[in-house]
Amino acid sequence: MTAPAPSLFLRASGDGLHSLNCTIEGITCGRCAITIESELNRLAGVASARVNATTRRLQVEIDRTVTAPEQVLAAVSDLGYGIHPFADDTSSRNSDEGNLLVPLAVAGFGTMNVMLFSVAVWAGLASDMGPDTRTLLHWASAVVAIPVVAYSASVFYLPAAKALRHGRVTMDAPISLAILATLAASLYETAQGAEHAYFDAAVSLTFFLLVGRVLDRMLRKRSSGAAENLRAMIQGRAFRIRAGNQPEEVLATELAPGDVIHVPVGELIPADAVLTARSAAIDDSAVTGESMPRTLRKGDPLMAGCRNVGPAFSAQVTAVGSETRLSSIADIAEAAETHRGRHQLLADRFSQGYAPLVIGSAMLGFAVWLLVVGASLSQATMIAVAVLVVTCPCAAGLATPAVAARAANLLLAGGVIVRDGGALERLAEVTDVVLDKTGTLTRPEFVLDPDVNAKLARRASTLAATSRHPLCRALSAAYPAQPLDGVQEFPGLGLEANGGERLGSAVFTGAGSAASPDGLAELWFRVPGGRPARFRFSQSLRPGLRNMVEGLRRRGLRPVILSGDTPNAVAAVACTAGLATWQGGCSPEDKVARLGAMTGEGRRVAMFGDGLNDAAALAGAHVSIAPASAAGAAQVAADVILLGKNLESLLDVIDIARTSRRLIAENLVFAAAYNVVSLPLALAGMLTPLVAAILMSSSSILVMLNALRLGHLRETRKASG
Amino acid sequence: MTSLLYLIPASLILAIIALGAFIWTVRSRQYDDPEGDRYRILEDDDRPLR
Repeated sequence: MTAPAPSLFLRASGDGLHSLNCTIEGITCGRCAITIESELNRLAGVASARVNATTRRLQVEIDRTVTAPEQVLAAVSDLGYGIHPFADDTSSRNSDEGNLLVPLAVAGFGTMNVMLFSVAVWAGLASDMGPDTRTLLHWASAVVAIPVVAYSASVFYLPAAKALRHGRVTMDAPISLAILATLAASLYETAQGAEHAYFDAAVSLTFFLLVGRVLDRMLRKRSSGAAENLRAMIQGRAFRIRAGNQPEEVLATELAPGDVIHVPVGELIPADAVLTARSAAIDDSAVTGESMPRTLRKGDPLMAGCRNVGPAFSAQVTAVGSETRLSSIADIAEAAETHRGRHQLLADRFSQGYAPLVIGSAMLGFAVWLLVVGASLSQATMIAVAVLVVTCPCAAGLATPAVAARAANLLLAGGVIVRDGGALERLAEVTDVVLDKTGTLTRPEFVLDPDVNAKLARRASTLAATSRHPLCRALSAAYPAQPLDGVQEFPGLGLEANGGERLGSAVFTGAGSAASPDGLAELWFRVPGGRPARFRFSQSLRPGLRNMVEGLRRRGLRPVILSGDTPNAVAAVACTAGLATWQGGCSPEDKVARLGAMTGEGRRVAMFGDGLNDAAALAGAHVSIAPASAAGAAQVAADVILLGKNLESLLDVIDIARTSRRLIAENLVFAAAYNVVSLPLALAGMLTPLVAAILMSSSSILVMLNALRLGHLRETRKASG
Repeated sequence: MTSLLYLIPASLILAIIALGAFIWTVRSRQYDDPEGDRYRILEDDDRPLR
């Protein structure tokens, strides 16, 4: 892992302690959090360790003089979890700012207490309550309702006022107007000693609207937290060499063009650079999708994000940060993302038109009743308020987030992270699925074919253990051995031991021509005086590949493979998967172009890929999916992230997306029907503000209940299918 | 009906105490990790958040 030294992330936290924040991969439930905590608490020098299972983050306080942060990381990764320290710039998120629970609680408190007074008044009206007692109870309601509304409803009226100052009318405007008008009218009625006041409507309206807001916020917070965790994983480190000194570790962002860097074995190249060493072996699979390492000579350009799989080398930085090619791929991704964002703005535009409509009809109702029908001022006000309350588009506003929240929770439990509710909607519309090969359908690592001479393989493995080349690692994974001393590595060729044994390419070992006869990755091994022996490697497929392809077809989707790897390698995988449509040797630009062509034919394409070479295509697709092992940029660009190894979970995601879309459509139809029925009733003066508030909130509750059916529908379908 | 004059304040004071208790639970971040807490409650040596 090319992570910066953990000590760079330590923050002093008083009492001589330092705190370290990390994101943790692989937490499936709270049980994992407890395991990690108790393991860390056993370490000497750990003052406290807290794992948040919801946000998948660890905060640990350590005494640096006793325990190094590396020990903390080692302890957690020994338990089998991935751990990535990150710079904690986000601590403000934990503050009360933006926390809607307190306004919600205050509104709930107000609703219950005002209701107590209101019920007393209603009961009193039917029996023998005198006007003085009634007015007293109205004033008691006012004393509770005014501060409660002033505080809790500020969630609505402050943003509404801010938007108004910028000349925009948001959905907060009619909501605020309804709440404040109800409150003002009730105060006026109470001062007149009238029979009816509507403080209960004002506070309960605030309460129910806040419930919707809190639900929406919880979903957003969860998904944005997941995205932040991903970004924490792509903070890189670099080793800078200055004037012949020892390499010094710095964050990759601190490099400047012209700096000379040292790239140790197995590290990612932190910036675009030119090779100054004689040669190097580079694995650029993450950037190009090519699964075999490339050999570079002095003066060749190096791309940030590629991994050094040969001996350590030095290079001169040519471009850093936003100037790198890697970053320009990310820029394409971002551009495509903003383009797609327009879909989501539709909802905002709807409320832009809807809010003035609501306010307009309320004012029309007010004017007609006051001037034409000749109702009293208070009666006309109450009708206008009823219109504002009953047309509050809470049900319409909740229709999507309620279902999306439910779906996101179901999927999270199944190991799938969904970034936003819109992604599910788009996934339900998909007609084609484009699959990347390396790292997506196959696992990133190679596997040794089992039909080998075990004795020879074990001997070769002692050489292989000294190298980071992916084939050598596959060999030493199959036959673990102690690394031999004095093995020399020739980038692009192979390894040679002191005794003269050679492990490497066909040419290097004298086995003949350079090309592999059957297109498989190969290593040759020769002991002095012996004949070269061949080891073949293949990339193992992820489980569930065939079922996934079949399942996609059964659901009427057309799967196709677009890969940057050689056509031979792609053909083999396509054949195993039972796929006839595939294309190899695609550059990132090819993938984007192909996707664009498919979109041009009116098809909705889901892109499933993991590499940086896929990032642009992922962002350009109608909806994008990445496995958890994906490169950081790909994960940031993806809408959906599959945490599990089994590909069949993609089918689950599609099923849930389709069911969700149906439920959302039901909800929207219901919300529209509700408004069509309730608006004329309110305009006709047949609803009091309280009844309107009850209608409005029960429509919201119905929409939420409908969303809860999602899990239930899925269970029944699973049982029957 | 004079009883209302102290019953109303009494009910409000009780409700405010409950509200205060809830606000304390929010401030002490007891809703930050519902997932972890449902397992943490089973731990014998659970340490409270500082």
